[in-house]
Amino acid sequence: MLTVDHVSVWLARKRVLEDISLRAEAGQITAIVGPNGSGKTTLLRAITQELPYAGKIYLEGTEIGALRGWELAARRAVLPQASRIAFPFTLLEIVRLGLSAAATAAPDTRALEALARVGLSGFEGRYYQELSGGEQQRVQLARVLTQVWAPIGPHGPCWLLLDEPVSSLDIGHQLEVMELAADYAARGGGVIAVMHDLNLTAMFAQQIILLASGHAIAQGPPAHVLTDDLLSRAYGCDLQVGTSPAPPIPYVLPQMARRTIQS
Amino acid sequence: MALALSSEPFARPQGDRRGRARMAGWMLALVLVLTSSVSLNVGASGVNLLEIIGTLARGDALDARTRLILFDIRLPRLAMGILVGAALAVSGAVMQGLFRNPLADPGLVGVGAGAGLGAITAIVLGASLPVTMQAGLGIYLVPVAAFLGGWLTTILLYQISTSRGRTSVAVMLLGGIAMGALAGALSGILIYMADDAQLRDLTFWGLGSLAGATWTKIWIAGPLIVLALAAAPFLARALNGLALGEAPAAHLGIPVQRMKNIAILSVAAATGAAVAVSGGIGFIGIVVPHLLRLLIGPDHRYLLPNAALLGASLLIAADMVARVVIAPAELPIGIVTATLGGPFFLWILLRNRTLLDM
Repeated sequence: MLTVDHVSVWLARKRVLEDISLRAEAGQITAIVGPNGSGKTTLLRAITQELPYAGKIYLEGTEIGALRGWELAARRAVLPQASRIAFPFTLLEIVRLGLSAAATAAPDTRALEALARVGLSGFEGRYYQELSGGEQQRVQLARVLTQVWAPIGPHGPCWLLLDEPVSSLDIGHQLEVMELAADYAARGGGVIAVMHDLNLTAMFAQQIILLASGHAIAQGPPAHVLTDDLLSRAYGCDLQVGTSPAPPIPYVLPQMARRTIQS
Repeated sequence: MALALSSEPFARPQGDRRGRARMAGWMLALVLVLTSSVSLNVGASGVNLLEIIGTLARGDALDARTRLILFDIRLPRLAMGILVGAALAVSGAVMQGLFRNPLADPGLVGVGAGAGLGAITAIVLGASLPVTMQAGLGIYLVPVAAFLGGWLTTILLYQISTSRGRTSVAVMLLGGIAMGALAGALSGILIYMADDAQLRDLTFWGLGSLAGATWTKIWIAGPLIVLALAAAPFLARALNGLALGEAPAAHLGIPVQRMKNIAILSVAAATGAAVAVSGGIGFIGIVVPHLLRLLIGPDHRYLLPNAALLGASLLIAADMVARVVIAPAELPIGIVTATLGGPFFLWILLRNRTLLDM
């Protein structure tokens, strides 16, 4: 379990995240959603120790700040948003960087396996910089996967912390990546993802935290969080949540939204 | 492009350049041995290695003149060429990795000028230090001052160009140019203040040459350079991680801040020591890592040792050219590295433009 306990974050003297608490269970996908600037990425960055924060964050009961870098690296991997790489590395070399941080030694073929899982078999000799944004995102995911390949490691569940993992992907690859995350959770690992797409969130997340202006305005399973009232309040427009026929999954269509002027 | 010609002896997946990098290491070691032997053989006097080996093989002792030329002139010069060449090339590679930019070079971004300012300060103002300090530092004064100058410039440069953990390349280049200009101006003031004897020291030093190589100088600069080179293998994984960015590197479990400090310290030590004993020798720090990245890829575990080997070979070769072209006089080596390095570098740039834009 990854527990966020009354965490607040200040950026340049402004409180951008206020008193957030969250319990993310291994075996589930926990999604952080909310409008632009609501503090989603800030919350993830507090969890990944990139930003200083007030409050406590625990990974399986251990305070996360007390773990050394390499101990943490063996237990959780972080997918950044779009990232530029400095030198012309091949995909194989990029993915192997993840291997170098893994808790246990892996066979030499692991990097190829990881590339295959994100649908990039045969791309291992290409340069990272030659790829499109969506392909680069998938390479990074492959790298992150090799770092915590086994969902349950020597110290308990491992975690994937994903910052908008599907933001620049086409719909086919969005489903592929979300299924990969769901599979990781199903095999016992933990996944926390910052998500923009409410429909994919509704399909794949077991738990959602909805942020608006640095506050958590709702938390719970999709059916509880993705409601007309809560989403309209968070996103500042009149949204109507529909429900798909069996299995019942909430969905939000922009066609059904009405812009309202908020005072 | 050379990278496409993959004829590996082992079954490696595409994109795996480790075999090629190891092979390059062996080849470059061989090249270094060859250039070193040729360099020992070449000089203003007619002493040559084959004769010496012949003499030794017959069981005869070498005459005093041959011994002097071999052990007190050519050998220290060779050793210094290897040390300085390796120092410049590895510093360049480490700095480029640290700043995540192939343009960062200690010479280009003012670190060389900072080290130069340190050395000039020591030469000009050293005599006015308290006698106890002079006695304490002695012959180490100039290299230590060069090291401090290089170190301060590197730290300043990093502070200026980094805000909130992100290093801006544009700010780094411009800041480096500004600091280089400032260091140059301060050096100018000191040169203006210098007396005739100091001016002579400064001129010889500033030309950039291995000509003044002595065992003493090697004992002074060598330890700093060797220490800095010894740190390089520990930096390799961190620099690879840093290529992804600072935050991703930290997520890989790399102690980023500590590694940055070690990198800055080792660049300053190597550049400072190299500048102190050989003056400013340009181009090695930027050409060598670049060539190697095109040949074997940017993985620092292979890039750094190969850079040391290639840097050493190139500088020795340049020194040979400097000695031979207008013998018995000598060209300053900086002129050789720039006239050969400049056009070659341009040619490489033109051939690989697409790859470089990445």
